[in-house]
Amino acid sequence: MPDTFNADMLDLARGARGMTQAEVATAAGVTQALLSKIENRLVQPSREVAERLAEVLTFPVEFFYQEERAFGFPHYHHRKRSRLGAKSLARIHAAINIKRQHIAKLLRSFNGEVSKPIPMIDLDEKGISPAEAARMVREYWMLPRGPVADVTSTIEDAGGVVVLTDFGTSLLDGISFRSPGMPPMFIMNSEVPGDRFRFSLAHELGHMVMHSMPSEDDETMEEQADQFAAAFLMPAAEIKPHLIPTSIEKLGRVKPLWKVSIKALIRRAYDLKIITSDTYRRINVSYSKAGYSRGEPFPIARESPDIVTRMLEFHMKELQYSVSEIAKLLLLNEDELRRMYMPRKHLELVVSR
Amino acid sequence: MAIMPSGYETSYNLLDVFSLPAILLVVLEEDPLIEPDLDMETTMAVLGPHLPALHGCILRGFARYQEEYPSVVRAEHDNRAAAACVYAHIATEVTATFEEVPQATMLDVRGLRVLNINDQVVIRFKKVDETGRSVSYPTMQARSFDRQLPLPNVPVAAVRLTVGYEPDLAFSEIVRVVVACPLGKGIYWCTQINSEENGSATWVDITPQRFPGTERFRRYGTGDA
Repeated sequence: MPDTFNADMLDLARGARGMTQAEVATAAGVTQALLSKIENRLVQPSREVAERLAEVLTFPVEFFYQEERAFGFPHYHHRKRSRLGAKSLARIHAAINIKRQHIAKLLRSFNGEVSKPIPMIDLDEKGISPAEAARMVREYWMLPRGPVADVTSTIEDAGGVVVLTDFGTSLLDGISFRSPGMPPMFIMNSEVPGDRFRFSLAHELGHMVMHSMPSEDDETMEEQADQFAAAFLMPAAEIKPHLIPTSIEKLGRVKPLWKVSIKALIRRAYDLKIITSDTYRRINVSYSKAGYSRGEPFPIARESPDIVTRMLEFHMKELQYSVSEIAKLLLLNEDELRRMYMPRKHLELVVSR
Repeated sequence: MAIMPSGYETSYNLLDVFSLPAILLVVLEEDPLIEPDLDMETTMAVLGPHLPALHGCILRGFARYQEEYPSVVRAEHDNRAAAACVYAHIATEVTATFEEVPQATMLDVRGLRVLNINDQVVIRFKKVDETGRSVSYPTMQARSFDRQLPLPNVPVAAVRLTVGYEPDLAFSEIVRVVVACPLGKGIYWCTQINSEENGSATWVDITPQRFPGTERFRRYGTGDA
């Protein structure tokens, strides 16, 4: 273990626990001034102080001595970032980085090679629209016509890593990014409805496919990602017959098939010029009046990412890791490891050993 | 001898009628002196013992549509097709449920399946809006039904009722089951049926709350429509 305390990790740990500097300082019995200096790399804490901080923040002390650097928000998420409060921002920033570290460690021994990875398409170079990019990706992955059965497994089959976490806010559904030596990562808010989850994941896929370089302004990139997601999940030629005649009653029947929200279907009908702007407005008023903005009927089950579970299973079954050893590897407490990644069946597996 | 609907004089025994060409069959002469008694209390008293069964039929018919059709099929249904499917399931449920009820018979009125209870009430089953009115464009036959006018095979003195279901905006669930007494283009009265935990059902008059302009409906009853 390196003997240099990593201030970035202290920042991440505080963010993960949603604690202020003052709260951590009080709980650890140190001054806020000292904590501030540690975070600003002006002083190195003693081993005793580091252990107290680790105890308060419920991370193993080794977590703070990692040679890792914290990554910021991807360039196409600046607009989303501006909407978040400081606490949410810190929590999400922590989630992104800590999950990235975990996946990097698990991938050292796990073979994640795929034959058809997530492509990168330059819209300007090819002179195509986001909808055409979505069509190309569908064709490249040989997805059958009609609804995408499972967006999560489609992305995971292409080597993407989808991880769930509670962002503690509904202002952000997900974040995706590429980092050196890592597969594309999709950190998704676990607290969003299943239909919105799918659309947000397809939206993030759009960023991964189209926005490897910050070539456009935030707003344009967000719009392009929305257009990509709509075309990826609801190809025009295939969805059109199901949107006519457009009414909320009709779209309520279409939703379970396409697994997208009624709201997204209304928007799709408008974008495909099936309804006029007046009708679009009128339907949206009815939609809000019915209370569907707070929760739609015909709920869609949220998809479950599988790749991290498979990585853990591989470590436990093939590499004979115990839960304790995995916790050490990921620099997590065992309880948190179980809560974060291990559904019940894995606990039983360990008990039987 | 078939039981003839009261209020009609027919030229033929019904058993004989079915052996003749349809165009010549039933010559109905309306007796203008016989009119249905549309009183809500009286009508609901007749219906009372059957309310739990009717409520159950509506719920089961709707649920069958929601649960038994593949999503790919339902996605192709427009609103009319969905309502037609639900109607078919409700009619099937009603037929099966009332098969053993002595005072109840299913009648086929030119393809419209209605439930006759003791020649006192005749019930059709419909999707209704929040006012209790049928949402579909009425056929001539439906208009006659709504005007409480005589129809072939339907007892003239029986009150024509609509037992309807009001779905939510997305057709995902039933907001309420109602018994409505139509009168022309309006509703004379409307009640909501509530299923109780002990298997019984109660009803509550929702006419005043739902139809503040009650005068409009009275006009139909007084011949002003």
